This record gives sequence, structure tokens and C-alpha cells, in this order.
Amino acid sequence: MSLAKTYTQFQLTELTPQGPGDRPAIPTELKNFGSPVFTNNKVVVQLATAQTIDSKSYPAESIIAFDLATRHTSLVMAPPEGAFLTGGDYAGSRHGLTIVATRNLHGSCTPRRRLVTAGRSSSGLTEQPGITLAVAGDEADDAVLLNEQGFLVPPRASLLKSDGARSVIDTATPVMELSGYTVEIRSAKAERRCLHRLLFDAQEDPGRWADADDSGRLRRFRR
Amino acid sequence: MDADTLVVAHTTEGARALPSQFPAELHLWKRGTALAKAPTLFKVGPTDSLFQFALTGAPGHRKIM
Repeated sequence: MSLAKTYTQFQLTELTPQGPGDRPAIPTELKNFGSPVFTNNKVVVQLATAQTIDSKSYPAESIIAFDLATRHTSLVMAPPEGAFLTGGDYAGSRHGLTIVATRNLHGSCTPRRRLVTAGRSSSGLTEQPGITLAVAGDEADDAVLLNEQGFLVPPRASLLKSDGARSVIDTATPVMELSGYTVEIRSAKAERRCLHRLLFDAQEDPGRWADADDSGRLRRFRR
Repeated sequence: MDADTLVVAHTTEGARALPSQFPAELHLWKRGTALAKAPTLFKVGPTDSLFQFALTGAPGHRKIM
């Protein structure tokens, strides 16, 4: 269980019906309230700060796995160059982990989220700017649930297998005709909030534009 | 844990709660028994903020994390 000693310190403990078991060699400074995901008898968490475990150094934001059988900790993924791993954007399945990473938040200001399956090689999935990916899963299942949605894309749920194959389960109906729109990310800051702008097709109506907030809701129109 | 054994955190029937009103105890409840008499697996300390839990492992080998 994850016991929040404070709102930055989360102590993971193994419990059995007979009482507390051994404490996993997992640091307390964790992201996502210390909520673990599970795969193949491993407890997977993300470090909030750089840590040394069993004489091995792990950078902040690393995703690590503690094996409940061998009691060893291993690195699943350190933040890739030019990308960050947001807290909790990973899911476990029978075959490993599916991780969402965001690239290029600053610089070109074109966020792209990439899915990486750890434990076996798999082709990643890169989405277009303005689309948010979220994953959920269970260690007993073969696939994870992938949710995609964005300013121009209504929510779509798919099953994503470890080989990258996707099968759509459900797609919401667009609330309005948006085929004439494109998404450009004009500016982004390394903060929680980004400014996204929806642009009409410049040839169709160059003087018309609309802003959208982070949730994709249109805030205002102007001609 | 299995079809008839559940791990429950609650604040009903006089169970302890944190000042935030989150549950302060974790219980092992057997279906058909009184929830108030379910044995306590875990209690938070007086300065702890909250706790959450999940089950892992195959049926018959469940662990609480």
C-alpha cells in the first residue's frame, strides 16, 4: 500500500492478510502519489527526485520496477533526451508496460506523445500535436486501453496490444464539423498551462480564429 | 483477495477517519459478516496524510500494495 507520510513522501508497504510484509526497496519521493502499477510480479513507480538504490543511481523522473520475487529494483526507463514522462502516464499489462512520453514541449513547441512498450521491442506510436494520449491497464490483461482526444479529435478508446496493433472500441461523435481546422502550437511554457490555438483553413476564412483552453473547449470566436 | 474476501477502507459504522475524512484503517472483510467486525489490516499513524492500496498477483497469491 502507498502511505502518504506527507504530500511529497509516499511509503510503499507490502501487506498480507496476516499483517505487514517486507517493505520494498522503493524510495519515498515518488510521483503520482506513489500509486504503483503492476506487471509480471513487479511494482512499477516513478521517482520524483534522483535516487540511489542498491548503489545504483537513477535520475529524477525515472520509472523503476521492484520485483516482488527477487526483491531487486531495476530501471524501466529514464527520461529520454528531449522528452519528459508525466506522472502516472503509464500502464501495466501481462506483457510489460506502456508509457506515454511527451517530446518537444519547448523549442519547436510541438508536443508529441510517444508510446513505448518496455520489456520487449515495440514500434512506438506518435500522435499529432494537440492530441492527448492516456493509457490504463491491468496486469492480467494482454492489451492496454488507449484513450486519445484533442481539440479536433473527439475521444476515441482503443485496445493497444504489445505489438502496437490497435483496435478501436468506441469513438465519440464530433460536436461540430472540424475538418476545416488544423492545430498549431504557437507557444508552450514549461509550466502546467500551454496556449493552444485553433486556426481555420487560411484559404477558407483567413480572418476567423478561435482560442481553446487546455481541455480543448472553445473559449471565444472572432471574425 | 478472492470472491468472498475483500479489502475495504471505509469510514462507516464508527470506523476511524483522518481529519480529512479519508479512511484511517484497512480491513479484511468476509462476505456475510458484519463490516464493523472485519479485522484490521493496517492503521495510519497520527501524522500520516492518507493511504491508498491496490491488489496484485494471481488469484490465490494476492498481495496488497
